Amino acid sequence: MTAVTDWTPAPTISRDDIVHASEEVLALPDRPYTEREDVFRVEALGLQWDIGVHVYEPADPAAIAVGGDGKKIGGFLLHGGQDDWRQVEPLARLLTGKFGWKTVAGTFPGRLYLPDPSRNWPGDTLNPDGTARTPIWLDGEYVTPDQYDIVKDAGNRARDGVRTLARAKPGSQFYYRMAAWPAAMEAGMVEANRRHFPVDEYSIYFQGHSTGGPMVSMLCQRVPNCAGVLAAENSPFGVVNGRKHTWGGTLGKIGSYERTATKAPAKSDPFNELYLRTWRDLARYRGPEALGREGPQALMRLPWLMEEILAEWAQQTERPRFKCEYPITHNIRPSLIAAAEVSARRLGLDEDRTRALVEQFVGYTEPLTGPDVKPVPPFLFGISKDSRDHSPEVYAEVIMPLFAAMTPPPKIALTRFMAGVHMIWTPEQDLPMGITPAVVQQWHDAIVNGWFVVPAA
Amino acid sequence: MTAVEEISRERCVAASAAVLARAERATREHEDVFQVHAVGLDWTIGVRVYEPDEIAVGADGRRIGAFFLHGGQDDWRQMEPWARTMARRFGWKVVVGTFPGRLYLSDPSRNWPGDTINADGTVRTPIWLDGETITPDQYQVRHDRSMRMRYGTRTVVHARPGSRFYDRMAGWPLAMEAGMAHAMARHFPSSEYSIYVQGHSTGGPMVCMLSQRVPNVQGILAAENSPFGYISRRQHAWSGSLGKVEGYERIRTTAHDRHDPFYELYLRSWRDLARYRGPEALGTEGPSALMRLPWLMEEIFDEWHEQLVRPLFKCEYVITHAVEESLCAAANATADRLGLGDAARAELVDHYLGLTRELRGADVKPVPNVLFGISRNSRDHSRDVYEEVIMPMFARMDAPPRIALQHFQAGVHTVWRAEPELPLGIMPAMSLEWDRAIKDGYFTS
Repeated sequence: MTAVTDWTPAPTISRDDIVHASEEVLALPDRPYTEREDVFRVEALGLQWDIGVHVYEPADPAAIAVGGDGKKIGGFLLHGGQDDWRQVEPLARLLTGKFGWKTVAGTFPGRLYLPDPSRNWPGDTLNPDGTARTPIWLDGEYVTPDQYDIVKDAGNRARDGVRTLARAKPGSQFYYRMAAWPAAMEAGMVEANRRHFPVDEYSIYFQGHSTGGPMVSMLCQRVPNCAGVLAAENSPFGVVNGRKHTWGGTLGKIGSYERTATKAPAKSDPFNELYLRTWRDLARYRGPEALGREGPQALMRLPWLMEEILAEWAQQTERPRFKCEYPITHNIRPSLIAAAEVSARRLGLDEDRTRALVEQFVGYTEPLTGPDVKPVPPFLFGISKDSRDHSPEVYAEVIMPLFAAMTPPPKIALTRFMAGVHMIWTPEQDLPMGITPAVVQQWHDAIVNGWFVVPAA
Repeated sequence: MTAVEEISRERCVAASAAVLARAERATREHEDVFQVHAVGLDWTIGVRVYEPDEIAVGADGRRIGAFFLHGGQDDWRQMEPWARTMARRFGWKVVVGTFPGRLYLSDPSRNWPGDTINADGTVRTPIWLDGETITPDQYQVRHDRSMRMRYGTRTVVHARPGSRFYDRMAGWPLAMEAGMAHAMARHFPSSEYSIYVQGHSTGGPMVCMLSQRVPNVQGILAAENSPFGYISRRQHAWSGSLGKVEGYERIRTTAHDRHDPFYELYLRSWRDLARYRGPEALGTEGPSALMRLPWLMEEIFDEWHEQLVRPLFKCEYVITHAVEESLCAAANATADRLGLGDAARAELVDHYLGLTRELRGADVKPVPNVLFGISRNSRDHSRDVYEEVIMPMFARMDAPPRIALQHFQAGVHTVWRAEPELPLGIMPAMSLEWDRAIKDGYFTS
C-alpha cells in the first residue's frame, strides 16, 4: 500500500482552470474499451427483482488504471432520481475511455425498461387516458392501473409546481414492491459491485448523482472494497440530506442571492407514492441555474427559457422519469417504518424480525455505527457554481459539520468548481462536457495520489 | 398636476377601495356590429357599448364619452372590466372597439374555437367580413427566432400574394381608421360628447392616430398606452426591445428595429404571456422568482389556457412600430389591386405612413392633451423611457399637447391584474385620476 500522500484537493477551482482541465482531458488519447449490459436477478424480502447495470471496461484488462493503494480502480456510478444508467454514461465513458477505470453504472430497481433492448420508455410519464408510467421491477410483471390512484400535490409548489403522483393501493403488488424496493436497492447494488469488482483486485470509488448520492452513501459501508465516495453534486446520507434541504427551505440558494426560505416542513412522502416527473422537474433546476449564470435578467427572456425547458423535456421522455426514493434520500422515518412493517406483515415476520427489518430500513439513511462496522470511507465533495441544492454555505453550515460529527469521522474535503450546474456534464461556453472533465481529473489525481488511502486505525 | 407625479401604493389602495365602494349606476350594454367600406373592400366592425342611464359631464360642459381599444392580441372583452368601472362607478358612456378581423363573427358568444395553432398545421385567422374565411391555401406557416430574447420562437403565417388574405393584410390599416372613426361617430355625436380615448398597449398607437381624425376627441387617457408608432419605435429601440424593470438595469441599449412584412400574421402562444410575466415577476418578487420557476410556468400555462377563446393573433406592428417599408409595400399592394394611378398611389402611401405619426399642418386638429399613466412593473413602460424618449418627442411636436405622467407604484402592464389589496389592480386608481382630470379641466386647457 502506498503511503498517505500530501496531495490535497483545492478548495476552489477557477473557471479558467476548469476550461484548461477540460481541454487537457478531452485531448487525452482514447483508450479502447468495451461496453455491455449486465442484467441479473436478486431476491429481497421474498420477491425477485431484475437489476440491470452497464459495464465500461478497458479492452485490455492489464491496462486498467491502478490507484495509490496499488489496486485497480473501479468506479460505481448511480444516476439521479428520475433516470437510469444513461444519465451517467458520459461520465462513465470519460473515466474508462480517458483514464482507464473499469466503470459500472447502476440503474435503480424498476427503472430499466426491460421489454425493449433499447431500454427506451414509450410515450410519456402521464398518458392522455389518465394512466401513468410505472416501474418494472421484474421482467414481465407490470403494474396495472387498478393498482394505483392518481393524486395531485401542490404542497410545495414553490419548488416543484403541482406534482402528479401514482399512489399504490394497499394489497396490490405495486404496494408491496413500493414497500420493499429499499432492500432490493441494497441487495442489487451490492451484488453488482460483487460481480464486477472482486475484492482482492479492485478498490471501488462511488459516485451518486443527486438522489443517487444517499444510495451510494448507504452502500459505501456495505460493499467491503468501497474505498471512497466521489461526491460531486452527490447528495449525502439521507439523514444529512434532509437537514440540507431544511436549511434552504427546500428552495436552496444560488450564488450571492439570499435564501428565499430558511424554514421548511420535513418531507412526509408516504412509501407508496410514485412521483411522475414532468417538465417541472427540469424547471426547478433551470430557473435557479439561469439566475446563477445570467442573473435576474433571465426573467426578461422567460419565453426562450421556457422553450429550452420544454424542448429538453421532450427529448427526455424515453428515460424513466419517475421517482420514489424520498423516504431514504430525505430520511422520512415514518415512511420507512411503515414500509418495513408492510413488508414484515406480508412475510409473516414475528415481532423481533419486524423490529430488525425496521432498523434495517431506517439504517439506510444514516451511517452504520459500531465496533464491527466498516467506517465511512473518505468523501471528496465537489460542487458546481450554480447548483440550487449544493451551495457552499449549506456544505459549510450543515453537511461538513454533520460528517465531522460521525463516529468515527471520515476524511472529507470540499472543492467548489467555479462553473457548471447540478448536472455537471451540461455544456456551457468553452466547456463542451460542462465541468465533468475537470471533476474527473481531480478524482483521478486524488486516487492515484493516495488521498483515499486511510491509515489503519 | 405636475409633469411627473408619483402615486404611492398606499394611494392606489385607498383609491381602489374608494372606487369599489361607490354605488353602481344602472347601465345598458350592447354590441353594435356594422359594416364599413375601405380600399374597395367591405369590413365588418364590432364594438361594445356601455351606457349608463345618467351620463357624467366634464369640465367643458359636455358628456363624457370614452373610446377604448384593447391590446394587440385581444378583442373588446379585454377592456370590459375597465369599461364597466367607468360606466357603473363614474357614469361615463364607454364604447370598446375591436380591431378589424378580431371579432369571432361566426358565434354570438364571440368565443374563438380551438387553439391559435392547430395540430394539422393550420392556424387561426382573422374574420374581416362576416362569412369570409381564410383557407389554408392562402398562407404559409413559418417559425421566427430572430427576436428570441423577447418572444421565444414566434409562429407566423405569410399571406400568399394574390390571395384574399394578402389583400386584407394590405388593406386593414384603412379599415381600422374608417371603422373606429365610424364607431365614434355612431355613438358619440359631436354636439353632445367629448371623447377621451385609451388604447391598451398596441391599442395605444391606434387611438393616437384616431385622436386627430375624430373631431370631438378631447384627450388621450394614455394608461400603459403605447404612443404614436414612430415614438413607440424609439421607445422600444431605447432598450433594444427588451424593456426595463424598475430597480434593474437595461439589458440592451442598442436599437433592434422591426421589419415585419405587412403580409405576416403572428399567432400568439403562451410565450406572449411569459414575455410579460417574467419581467413582472422580477419587478414584484425579485430574482427569487426564478427559484419557483415551475409554479411560474404553471401560472402562465393556466392563464394561456383560459385565454384561448380570445383572438390571440396580431398584425399591427407595421403601425405600432412604424415599419415604414412595410406600410409602403401594403399601400402599393393595395394601389395595385385598385389600379390606382401615380398620384393616387402616392397619396395612398402618404396616407399609410401618416397612420404612424401625428398629422401636421395649418388645418389639422392638433394632438389633444395626453395624460400618461404607467404601472410600477411594466417592461415596456418605465419612467425612464417616458422621461428620456416619449415625453421629449411629444414636446417637440409642432403644436405640442399638454402632457403629464402619473407613475403608479403598483401594478403591471395589464393594469387591472389583481394583486394584494388591489382586486382590480391599479385600474380603479387610474380611473379616479382620469375622472378628476376631466372634471378639473386638464383636457380643456
